[in-house]
Amino acid sequence: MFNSIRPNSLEELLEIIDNGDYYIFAGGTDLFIRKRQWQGAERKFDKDVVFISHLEELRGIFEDKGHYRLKTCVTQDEVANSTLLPDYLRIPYGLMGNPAIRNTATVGGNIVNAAKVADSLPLFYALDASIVLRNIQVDRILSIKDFVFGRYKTDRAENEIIYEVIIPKEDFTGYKYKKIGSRKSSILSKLSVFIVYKKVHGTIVDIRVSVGAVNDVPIRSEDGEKEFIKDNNIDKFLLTIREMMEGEDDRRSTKLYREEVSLRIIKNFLEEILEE
Amino acid sequence: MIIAFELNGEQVTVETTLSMRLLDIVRNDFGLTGTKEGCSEGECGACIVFLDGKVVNSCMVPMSNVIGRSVVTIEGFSETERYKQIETAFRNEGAVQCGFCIPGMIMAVEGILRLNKPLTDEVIKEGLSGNICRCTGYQSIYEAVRRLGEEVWQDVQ
Amino acid sequence: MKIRDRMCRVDSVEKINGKVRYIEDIDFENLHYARTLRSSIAKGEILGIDYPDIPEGVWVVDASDTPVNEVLMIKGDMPVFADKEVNYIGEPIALIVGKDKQQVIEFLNGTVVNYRESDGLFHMNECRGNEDRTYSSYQYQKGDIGELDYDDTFEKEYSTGYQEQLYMEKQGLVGEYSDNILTIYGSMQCPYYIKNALIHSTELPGDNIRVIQNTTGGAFGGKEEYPSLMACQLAAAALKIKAPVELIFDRREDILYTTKRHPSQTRIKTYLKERKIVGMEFLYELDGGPYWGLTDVVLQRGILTLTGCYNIENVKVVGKAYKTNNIFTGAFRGFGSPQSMFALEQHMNQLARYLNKDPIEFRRQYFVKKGDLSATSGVFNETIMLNEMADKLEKMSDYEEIKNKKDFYHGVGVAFIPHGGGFTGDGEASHIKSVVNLKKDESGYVHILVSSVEMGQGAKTVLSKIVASVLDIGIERIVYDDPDTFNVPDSGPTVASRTTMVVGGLLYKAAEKLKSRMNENGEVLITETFKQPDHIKWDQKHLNGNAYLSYSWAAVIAEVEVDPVTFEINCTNIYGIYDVGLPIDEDTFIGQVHGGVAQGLGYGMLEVMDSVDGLIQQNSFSSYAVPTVADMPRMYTDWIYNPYKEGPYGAKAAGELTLVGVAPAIASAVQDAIGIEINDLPVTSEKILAEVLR
Repeated sequence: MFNSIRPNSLEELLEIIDNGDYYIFAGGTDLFIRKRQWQGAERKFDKDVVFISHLEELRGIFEDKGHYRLKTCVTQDEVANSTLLPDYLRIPYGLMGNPAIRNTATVGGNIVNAAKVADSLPLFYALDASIVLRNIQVDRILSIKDFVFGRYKTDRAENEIIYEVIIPKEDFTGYKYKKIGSRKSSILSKLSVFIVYKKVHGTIVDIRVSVGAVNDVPIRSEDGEKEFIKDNNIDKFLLTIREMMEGEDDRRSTKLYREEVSLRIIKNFLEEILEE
Repeated sequence: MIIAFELNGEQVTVETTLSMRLLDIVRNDFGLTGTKEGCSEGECGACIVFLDGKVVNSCMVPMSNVIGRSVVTIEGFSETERYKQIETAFRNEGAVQCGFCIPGMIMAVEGILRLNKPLTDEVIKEGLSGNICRCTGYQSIYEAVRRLGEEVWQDVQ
Repeated sequence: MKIRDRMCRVDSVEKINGKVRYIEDIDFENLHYARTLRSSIAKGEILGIDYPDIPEGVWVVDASDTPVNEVLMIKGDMPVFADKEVNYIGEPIALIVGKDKQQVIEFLNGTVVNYRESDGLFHMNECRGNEDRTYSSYQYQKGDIGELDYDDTFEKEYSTGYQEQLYMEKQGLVGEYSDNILTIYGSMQCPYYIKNALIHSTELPGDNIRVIQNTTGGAFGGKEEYPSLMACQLAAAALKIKAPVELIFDRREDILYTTKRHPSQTRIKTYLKERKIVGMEFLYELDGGPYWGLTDVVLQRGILTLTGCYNIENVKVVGKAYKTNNIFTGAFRGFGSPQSMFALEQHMNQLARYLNKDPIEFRRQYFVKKGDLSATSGVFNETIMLNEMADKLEKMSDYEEIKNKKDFYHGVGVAFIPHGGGFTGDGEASHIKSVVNLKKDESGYVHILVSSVEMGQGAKTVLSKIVASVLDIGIERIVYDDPDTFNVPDSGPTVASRTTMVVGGLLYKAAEKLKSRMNENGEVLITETFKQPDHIKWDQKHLNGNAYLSYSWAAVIAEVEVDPVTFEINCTNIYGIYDVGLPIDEDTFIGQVHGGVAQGLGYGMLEVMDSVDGLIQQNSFSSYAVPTVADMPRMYTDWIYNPYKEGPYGAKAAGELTLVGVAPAIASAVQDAIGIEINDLPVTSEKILAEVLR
């Protein structure tokens, strides 16, 4: 059997995880499912569990001059309905899961699972978000790309938690978002495409394109984006993205579909952006 | 350990663990069996309850996240005036077949009404998208909510 | 009340407020919980089982605890518990039972089964021509396909995949043995199937066996034969432990290991003479999984109406069902017909296109009418109004307008479907022999005593309404409790869209007899037994004659838009015209239509279920995608009145019919939208993309 611990403060939490290996349990929308065994029986946790979503120090959405800061236990619904956050964050969050899931699933949980299908990762990739990791002694700040390095793999040490996500503020002109599942809503993604861009006097000066759920981690080519800003060459950009793709056949979709349709969506979006 | 929370308006305690599911506690420890387990992974909505007034899938809520908070199940909600309105709308539209999804569906409907938004097609569909019904094809449920929206909207005005 | 009165369902309030109790909601004293030890391989010999030390309070129940290790369905080839060999992944080997779920789970996790694994067969094509791997093989002919005069042929192959019933309430039963009575409670369609299976496996006298249905949270065929297996296991457990034992599946267990709709392959060859159909030849094949189950009957329903709504002069049909080591396939709303009607209707749509004709106009030339011979050479005795239905459908859907819409990737698809009511051939008379009781008690309440169950389809509402209308009394004076075999006769299983037509028909007759006796003091009991109408003639050996007592009909149009970038399919509208004789309760019937459309839409375009070496890949609500509210089209529903004289108030079968036409209509709409051929269900964006790129 396992022990369950519910610390009274962030400090206590950090002390606890400094002294052992724990499942860190926030919203539980992923962990609770993975550890299921029988209705009415305990979950099959093979190590001790520490619960964190009640900790006030881990909640809240803040902004400073240059950044938005989402604490780790902010729920997806709180992001979707925030009056502080821009649409390009709120709207995609409002499309995750379903209403009941969004009320429990957390920002930090979706990142730290590092699931291939995690819908928040392509957003954070495109927005150059940073992750603040905290242990009992010190904070570490990593770019999202450095933090997530594979399917279910992150750079979090056992004695660390994700404390918050920092998103630089940008005055984007607009955003594009499309995700595809095997039905219209409340389903894991087969693929998703997220684009934010800035145009000045009809010219693209900034654009970020990320693709989720095709590779183990989101696809984004900053070099490709720089080239595209210079030459507005869609086909060349698509080729760059295509070369990065490592899609797979699985029970939800096929490699062919994921790759081709992601590229078709990007093409369509880029054409729209150029025409706007 | 002893866990204290508010259940259907009353302060209650239960001897359990932090990791037990709220669903198992309301069903097995309090005999509130109107909350159903359909899928056991947050995808079907049959186990929806209100946690501090918001819809959650009780199959994914550990008791740790319930301590000191308020839980309302279909048994508690069915005592309200608003419930009666919803019940009447569902009956009149013939929106019930096997019934297994319905208590959760009723909670989701109340979740939509609590948004205090006009009940557009999009709002209704998004609000019900986490509730699977295998019998009705949803059209009668959709119609019940739409008519309810008209009623509730009139009440507000 | 009168039959045309509008009413609310009799069972809705308790279902809305959550007070109604399903099996998992019911308390039993000293309840024990069972969990199934299952085979992890698809085929092999069991060499031995290493159990941990059996702790106090834990029991292992296996083949040694069941007197006859056979589950009686059509045959008894399926064991209650596998003991020597296993034939599919998930096959039950034992029940582990205890009061403490944690203890049961730990015991199960510590158990190791040793196998000698052998090669399984996982595809129908590997079984072709192998007699040991063929459950059933049928052939019938009409006219003479060998002597045809033709100038062209059109030949295509079609296939369909698995479909999971995904009833919201998982499989669940409780077994109890006390005072010499073995009682099974729970979620089920067929109390007497279970009773008969228990008599066979336990060898107890029938008088000592009692089956009680509880409120059932959806079934769709999934709780037709499967609960018999669970009941036989629970009987062994209850008899051994002498305490109530609950077997309620976990959802993943239910999706992975209970019956699915049979995957199918159909080859159709049409012979044409001067652009008219002169003959059709069919090969229809089903994957029957590891045991007989109901496969033989599913196969029959699949082939007996293979020419659908059309009068074809020369027909040859071959049907085969194969034994594989895939998951156990079984009953699911439609029962063989969704597979064969997809093939036929898609073929008709493709033929229409080949001949450059409108799909509805093309069909009209061949619509069957009263007096014609069916595919099995039985005379259609009833009035058939397919032309009127087609007219009504065209008008309702604004057909000329929508089919000429020039929108990019907009498509319209059509299907016309027959569905035979009740059991195949003379099954109602020769196998089922329904009996119903109708009892007026001393207080003037009228009790419906039948073994038909309410599982969401509205049986309680519809049968109560029939009786109340004949007697012209208020619906509140009708009592229709969940069936208990100690109190109700065997009026047959709740399957085959037979409840309203056959059981309702018997209740109608019983109520007419009761009507004149309502003023008598004391109790009055009327018993009514099924008699086959004289004009029904059936030769089961040669599959010749009237394959069904009556036919219901559906005409369906689907309208879709396919996203030109992503190939996502959006089914925007479903139009349906139905001939079910007369809908007893219009709201209940519309509920059946909408639910059938939802399941048909899932079958047609969402519900992908693959099996790899005998293991189902989609094991949860998140990987097996059934429709949500957002996926549903607007449904337009209407009907014609065409009363069937043996049915109550003219009513015929309704439940299954509503599902069958949806998938072919959607598939042909997608075909129409993109101009590619769709020969495989479900139609997915992945398949469309692959076709488009080809």
